Amino acid sequence: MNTHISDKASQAPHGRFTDRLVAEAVRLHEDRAGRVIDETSAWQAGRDAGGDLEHRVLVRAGATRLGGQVRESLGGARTLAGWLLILILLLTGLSGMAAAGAALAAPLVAGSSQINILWALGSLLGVQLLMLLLWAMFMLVRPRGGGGLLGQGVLGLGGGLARRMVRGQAPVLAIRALLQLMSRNGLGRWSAGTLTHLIWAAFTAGALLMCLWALSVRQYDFIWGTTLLAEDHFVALITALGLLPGWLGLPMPDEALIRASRLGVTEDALGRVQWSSWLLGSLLFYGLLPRLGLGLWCALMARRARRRLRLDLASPGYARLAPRLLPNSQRLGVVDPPPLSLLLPPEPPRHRERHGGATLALLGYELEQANEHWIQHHKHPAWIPLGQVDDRHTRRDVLAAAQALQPPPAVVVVVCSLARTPDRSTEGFLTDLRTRTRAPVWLLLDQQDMARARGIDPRARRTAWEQLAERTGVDRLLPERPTDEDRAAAEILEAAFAASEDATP
Amino acid sequence: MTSILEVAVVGHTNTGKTSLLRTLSRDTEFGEVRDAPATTRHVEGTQLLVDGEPLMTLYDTPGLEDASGILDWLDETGGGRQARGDDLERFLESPDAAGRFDQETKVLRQLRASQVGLYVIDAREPVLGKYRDELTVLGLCARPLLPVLNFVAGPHNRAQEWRDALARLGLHAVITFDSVVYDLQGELRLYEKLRSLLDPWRIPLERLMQAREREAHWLRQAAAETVADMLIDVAACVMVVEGGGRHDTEKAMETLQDRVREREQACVDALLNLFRFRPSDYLGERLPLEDGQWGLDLFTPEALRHYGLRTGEGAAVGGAMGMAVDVMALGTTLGAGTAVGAAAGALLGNTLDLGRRLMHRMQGHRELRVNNNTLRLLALRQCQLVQALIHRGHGADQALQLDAPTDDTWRKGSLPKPVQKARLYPEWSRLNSDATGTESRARAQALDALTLLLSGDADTP
Repeated sequence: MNTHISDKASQAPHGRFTDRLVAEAVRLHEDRAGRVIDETSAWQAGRDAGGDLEHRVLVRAGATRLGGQVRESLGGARTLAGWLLILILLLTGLSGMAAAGAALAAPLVAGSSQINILWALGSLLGVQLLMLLLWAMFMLVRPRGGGGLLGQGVLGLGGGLARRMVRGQAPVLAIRALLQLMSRNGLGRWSAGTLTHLIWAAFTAGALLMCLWALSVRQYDFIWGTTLLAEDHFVALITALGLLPGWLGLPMPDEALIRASRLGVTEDALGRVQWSSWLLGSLLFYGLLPRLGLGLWCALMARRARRRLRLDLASPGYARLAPRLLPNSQRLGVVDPPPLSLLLPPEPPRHRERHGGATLALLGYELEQANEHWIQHHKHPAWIPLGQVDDRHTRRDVLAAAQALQPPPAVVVVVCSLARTPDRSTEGFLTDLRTRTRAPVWLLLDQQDMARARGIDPRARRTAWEQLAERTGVDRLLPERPTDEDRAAAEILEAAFAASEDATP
Repeated sequence: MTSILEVAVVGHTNTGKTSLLRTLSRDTEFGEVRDAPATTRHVEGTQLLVDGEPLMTLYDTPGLEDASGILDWLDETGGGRQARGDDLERFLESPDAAGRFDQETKVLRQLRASQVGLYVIDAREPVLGKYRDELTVLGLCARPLLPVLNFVAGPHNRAQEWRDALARLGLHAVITFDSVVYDLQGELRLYEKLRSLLDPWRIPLERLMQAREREAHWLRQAAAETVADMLIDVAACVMVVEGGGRHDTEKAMETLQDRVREREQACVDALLNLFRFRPSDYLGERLPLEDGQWGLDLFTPEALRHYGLRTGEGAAVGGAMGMAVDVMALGTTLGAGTAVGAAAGALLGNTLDLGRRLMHRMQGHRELRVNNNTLRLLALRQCQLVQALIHRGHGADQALQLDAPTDDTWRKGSLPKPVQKARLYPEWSRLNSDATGTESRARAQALDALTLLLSGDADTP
């Protein structure tokens, strides 16, 4: 049993991102409409789904009619977004080619075939290295809003476009839900980051292709020059940049070649292969690969964020579903029904009137603070104490004493506490008492103040005692009427006893 | 073992067995509860579910009323020796068991079919002989018994007396758990004691405890967020009054009051639903709002005074109308209704809003919004309701009444920052017709901050 339960707990089903998106869309709709969608089949599906609250919420949202529409519209939106992405990547690839083309065509236009290599590299990588720096800064400084300007821009543009272009309730809801989810958990940041890097990678790839093409079919002379800086710095820089591509076996310019290529050192241009592979290698290693790597990383992070994404179940829109989706208990119904034919209540015993006798037999039944109770201390010579009933032994004794009392008393008075709930045990005692004696049996309800102090409603409690008195044939219930004042029970009894004495013929 | 732990809830009549079941199962509709003997005459079961999986079955039984009678019966038929387990067998098969002892028989049979019994005691009662007799009879069933002292939250209880008496009978593990005044720790202790009595069911009981704790935490969160959402809606609510006539102002004010009242009611409904109570569980202040007899209405100066709030002297336009509002006129606006610092700061970055207001001003429009004291009152009332619901057992039968709050957090000082901020963003409020910002990130952040603040309040007892 144990393993079974824990297994099931660990396997709590986790819905996919789409399911959460649908649930979010349904919630947004309900939030704006101000009430929940009341589809019986959807509620039922949610309840039957089992598992934790989130799973039930997801299933229920998916089972609503609106949820189905949202899911359908998502399919179309996804294809559209895919085409849009391809289009954007193509466009940026082309613009990368254009940039490279421009960088390499400039010397030709000027009527020369000399390329200033650092100038060319700077024009192809400079901007995007700067942007990379900016991106990193945004990620570090504004962790909630970062993600790259381009990516954010594309996301925003997509959202804005979609909002303007999309018609119909379900697609609009889907987009709003997507934007909501994107704003949580860093998901938007990582998605935007992925897009940013992909776009720059496309740009660099375009540039790389263009360079490859241009360097293949045209002939350039590679030179460099400086006015302000020392030559050694340049040599070190170029060698350092060439280290990585060099490890991969691309031919790189050595120090002699670098020094020889300086503007104006020799007439003949040298090492065209080395220089072009240096340029291409730099583009690859400092432009394309970092972007691809970062893009992959961002994509992984976005995936992780998407997997970790849970609905905010404490938000009012979801919390209000809980009572209907996740019952805390299930009633099993009556397993042992009450007896079908209730025994007919026996004929109520005949009423007794007081016949002679001058004494009153007094007994207490399950009283509180029995030892300090007034029936222990009263000073009436005509009131004969029979003791107090607390458990079944005292009960037996008291019954025997009541039966054996000589001469028979005029009245037997049972003092009960209003703080007690009358039960069948009391009922049995009163019936017994009445069969064993001939005198009328009175019931005196005492300790009303105690009952009230405990928050018991004295009137309701008295009603229960009245019913008991009726069933057992108690001849008189004192006090006669329910009162709100807590009168001393002894006085009530005294007055009632005196009155009944007067009435006796 | 594939069975579910079965627990019989037994006890004298009218000690709150059904109430206890209601509270443990969070089911206000289970069985029938009355302050009368023998309200429950049958055995009824309910299963406690965690994530839809039953972990424990509780059985509500009729009250024991005549245990002494059973002992007498056993004495008479058993020849005077001490009653034993097989005597119980003899009793259960006798015609008397189905006849005059029908209720008791049901209890005993159910206890024997269960693994453990919860013996519910009305702790306000003295330890009478009949209760000792009940424990003797129940003891014949040879099942562990866990006494549960009910109604211990009031001042008139005799928990200590009961503990002593139970200890003398060999029952040392005693639980205090009030079925009307709910206490999470009490419920956890109950399951903990059961766990120590019933080792084979250790794992489901632990799961149950974890689930209860998780659920309580979630409830606090969700309740705080529900209240925070309402507060932001109300704080951001603005009515633009076209034209400066007194009639227009009055009409707008009425609309505003109605909207705020409706929003508060929606919040109350949501909270009751969240805690799984019936709408009738908080009638006291519901009806007066509904049928127009405003006993403790939001906007009366009396209500504000009741909560110990000072009504702003200058801000009251409609003292007679029962509501103090800020009539927002630019120039005096920034100081009057909203907190100065926040307003100035936010307005600087809010030139669009400023422009819109200027336009309104030039067209002779004025803006009407709920004043600070109303916000304080709303926050106080709802926080108090949340507290009351957290501590209300599902066995409680009487509708909830709220006293004057003792908590000073909302009465003094300036309003919390998120509320002040909401003042300046009409688009955040669902009460405004052009609520475009209900899904904005800024509102979500303000909501989170306010929720944190409120749930922090809720954690202090």
